[in-house]
Amino acid sequence: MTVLTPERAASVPAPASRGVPARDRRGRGRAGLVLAAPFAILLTATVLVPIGYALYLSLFTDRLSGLGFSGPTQAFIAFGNYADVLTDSAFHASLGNVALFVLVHIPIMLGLALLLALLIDSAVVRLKRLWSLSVFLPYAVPTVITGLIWAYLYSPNSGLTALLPIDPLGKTGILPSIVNIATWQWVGYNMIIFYTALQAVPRDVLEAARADGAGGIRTAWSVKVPMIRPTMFVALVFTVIGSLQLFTEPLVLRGFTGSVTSTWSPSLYVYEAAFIANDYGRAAAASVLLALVSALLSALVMRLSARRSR
Amino acid sequence: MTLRGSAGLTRRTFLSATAAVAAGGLLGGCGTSTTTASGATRVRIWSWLTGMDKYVAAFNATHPDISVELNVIASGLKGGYAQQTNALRAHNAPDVLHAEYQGLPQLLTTGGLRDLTDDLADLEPGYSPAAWEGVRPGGRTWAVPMDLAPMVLYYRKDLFDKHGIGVPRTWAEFRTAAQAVRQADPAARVTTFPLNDGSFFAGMCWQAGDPWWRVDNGSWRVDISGEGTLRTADYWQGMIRDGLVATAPTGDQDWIGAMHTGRLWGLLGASWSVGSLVKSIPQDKNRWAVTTMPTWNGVPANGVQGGSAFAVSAESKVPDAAVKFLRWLSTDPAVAKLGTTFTTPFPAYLASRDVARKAYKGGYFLGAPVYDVLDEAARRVPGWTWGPNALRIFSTVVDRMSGVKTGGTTLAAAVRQTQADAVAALRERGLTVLEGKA
Amino acid sequence: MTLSPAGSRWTSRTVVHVLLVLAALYAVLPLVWLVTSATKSVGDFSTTGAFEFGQFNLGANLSALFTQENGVFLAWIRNSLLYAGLGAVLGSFICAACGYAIAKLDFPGRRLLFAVTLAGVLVPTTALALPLYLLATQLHVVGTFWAVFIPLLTNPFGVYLARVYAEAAVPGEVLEAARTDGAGELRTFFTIGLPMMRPGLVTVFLFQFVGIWNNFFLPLVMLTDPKLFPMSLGLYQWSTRVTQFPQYNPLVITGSLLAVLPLVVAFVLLHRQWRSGLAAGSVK
Repeated sequence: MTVLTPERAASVPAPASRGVPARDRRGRGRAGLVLAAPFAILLTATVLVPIGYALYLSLFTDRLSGLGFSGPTQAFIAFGNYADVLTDSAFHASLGNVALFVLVHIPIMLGLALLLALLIDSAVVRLKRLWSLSVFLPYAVPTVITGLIWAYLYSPNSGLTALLPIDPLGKTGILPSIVNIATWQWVGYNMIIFYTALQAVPRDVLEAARADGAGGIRTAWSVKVPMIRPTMFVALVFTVIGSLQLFTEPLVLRGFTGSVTSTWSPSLYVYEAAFIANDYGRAAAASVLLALVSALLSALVMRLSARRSR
Repeated sequence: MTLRGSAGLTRRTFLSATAAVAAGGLLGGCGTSTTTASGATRVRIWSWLTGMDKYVAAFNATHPDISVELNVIASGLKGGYAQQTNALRAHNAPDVLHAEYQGLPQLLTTGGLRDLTDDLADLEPGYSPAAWEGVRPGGRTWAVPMDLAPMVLYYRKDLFDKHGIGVPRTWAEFRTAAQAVRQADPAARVTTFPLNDGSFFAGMCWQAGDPWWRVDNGSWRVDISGEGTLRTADYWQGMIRDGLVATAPTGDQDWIGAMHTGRLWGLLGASWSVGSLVKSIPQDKNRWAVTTMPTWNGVPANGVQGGSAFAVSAESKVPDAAVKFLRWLSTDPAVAKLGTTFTTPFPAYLASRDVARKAYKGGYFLGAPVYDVLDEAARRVPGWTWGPNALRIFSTVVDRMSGVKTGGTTLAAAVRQTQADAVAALRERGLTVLEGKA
Repeated sequence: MTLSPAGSRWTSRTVVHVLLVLAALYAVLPLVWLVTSATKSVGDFSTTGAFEFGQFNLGANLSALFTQENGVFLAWIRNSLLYAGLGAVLGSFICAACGYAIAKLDFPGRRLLFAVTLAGVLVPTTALALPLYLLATQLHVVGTFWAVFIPLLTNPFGVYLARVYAEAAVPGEVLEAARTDGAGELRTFFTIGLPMMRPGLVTVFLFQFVGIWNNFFLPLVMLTDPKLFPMSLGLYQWSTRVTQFPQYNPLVITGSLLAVLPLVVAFVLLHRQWRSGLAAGSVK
């Protein structure tokens, strides 16, 4: 398709059916609607409506009577479910676990990802593709299977536990163990993101730094890192959201150790409330709170990122 | 479609994939018709019972008028109950549901089960009383018993004999035996007390004679921290504190490894543990023996851990066919006979149990015949009622006990907390709850 | 480590490579364990070391895997391919259309849709699972293919990426020219926009494929019939049985190996495509 200049376009006589700017615009609007409609419908049906439904459900609870064998009746209790969840020590504990997880996992995982990206990007490295692909591979492993692999490795007879100072499935070891699983899975993915961003750093900027006498480490820290800061913030937001959803790893480990409680993370709490305790109202309230915390945290991180890049 | 460069290939893949979906019957959803193409009545069942596929096939082969369709679901607490409870509440449950005795009252709180009192009244005398009581929470019959899982003690008879350790009849003797085992081999323990298994702990407490729930004048009475339970908790707390038992889960890799290498000389198990032993350590043939549980002060008593029953959905359009299938499943000698070909069944129906006993090949255990011991154990089971939150309590008690291993808490503290949790959870659901022993 | 004598340069190169070897080992060793373990019998699995080989039992494990429960594992493979393959093809096409429309066509509600899409990226999927389940219940689609398939089509981040690709790869002049030539807007999208966005869409496709392939929560709550399970759910269900029935160990491990292989191979083979797509999307 050749690119037409405006003059030439103007010189072509417009057919009667087109050329009228307003009609043209209307045509584009209609096409836009048609193309956007499938996704808009999906988004409404699978995100917006469920959120609304969760809000509605969170205002009701089921009441039993007698021995409970005649089944539940629904009762409106306004914000009672929210009060229950917010005063539930199990919910607090789950938030605490995830907060600790976030505080340990994110610096380690993103720090390691950045370090590896910088190492691979450095001039001295050979076989770049080999390193980046092998570190990336765990991303391709389904989380359930990641959890299973590590659960077996953490089991006492794998030989790995003998090398560790603490029992990875014990009370104190379980958090580091889950951090390790998540780090193993995600470090390569984020490394690739950082590495691709680093490759986009203009080479003349690096040349200039080198000419100024900056060494490899100095260039990395004061030239490369600041230039990929926006990418790092995006990765941070996604990691925070992902971490808040922590579910599969603890659920799988739960089959192997009692150290993971049935409400270990907020997502497990929701799952337990909904599908084990069958308390849909409380589960819906916890879901809403989880979404809210997630939104607030992402907003905070983005705010931070906007300020930093200004 | 999207990938225009390889449009032909993509379209072909797309079409064949679509065809595969259709061919796989994935688009249809669940069969809503109550009859099959051949005119047989369709009965849908969800179950996680080992070998249920074989029973269903046998039933269908001999009953052309009924076609049972089985869905194997995740086992009980691993998701089976959740699925069934949710389905009952969503009015899309199958005709027949799997309900262990401890899970039945929770399923009942959906209000979605059929009252089978009249359908089954004639069968009562045929069942082991512990099983019959288990399907009658609140005094009506809500399910058909399948099997019973009385708890027994499995022990390494060869090693016990070699080191002159007597078979423990009481818990005091059991503690002495535990010390002797540790003395004979410092790396070995008499058994593991799995801190991750709430149903196991409940089974141990069952034996002590203080049921965790009772029905009291039409409402629930909860007594999880009763004298018997606390006695059990204190006893095992002492065993754990003194390093006389392991606390790791039963059946996991570590456990199998320990069994393989002779680091566990005993197993507090149930009837279904026979299968676990034979399958995970086949080379230990003629080393193990079975005996009834040690007792408190010589009073014969035995707990139960598990055992399945089957309930019928109140909304089933084919309740008669469902009941017909369940009566066959529970009482027909063919079922017990078939069961012995791949497992060691311990049917709740006494006549079927005799069939299983006769068909059992044996040859693994030393000493007393395993069915005799299990029979005796089943006779010793004291009364017990499961509450509508029993399943949740299994996970609560495990959560509460999780600090026991490191000394962060005690079993007694854990059961007291569990009592409080259990009462609060029932009250939250609008129920009137009484506490303590009546 | 400034521009320096050869000796220190050599040291730094060694240090860097040692670090990379360590990272690669960390990433790959658990997968090696998966391979060695898949070759072991139930007994060897419990008694031999993690990275040792026992008696070579892979053949027996594979045949056990494919005959267990009347070959249900084969159905899981098919389902995973359907959910992920069909879902990613359809999903990335929907993303492409919407991303293109947002980038190139001025339609009413465009800003709102984009804002909601961005917000949709931030909604945790675990918070949506319960209401989705209850809605599916009311529509009587719980326990069917669609209950899992349709929600997973929705990929807000894919729309965001597609918009980025559309803006970067489809010049406005080209569209103007097509319009001038009398092509309709939809036709222009199919014949011009879509092909130009293709390299980026491979990335959307691949990552949505992985997202669905790895998704676990939704099938977990939606499905009861093992014949409809994707591999991850099926293997999880088997893994919950290993405590009681150790004979499931080799099934879970061998099955896991088979579930991991296709993605690993796809990522290695397609690595040029997804790397470039990722670059275009994430740097923005």
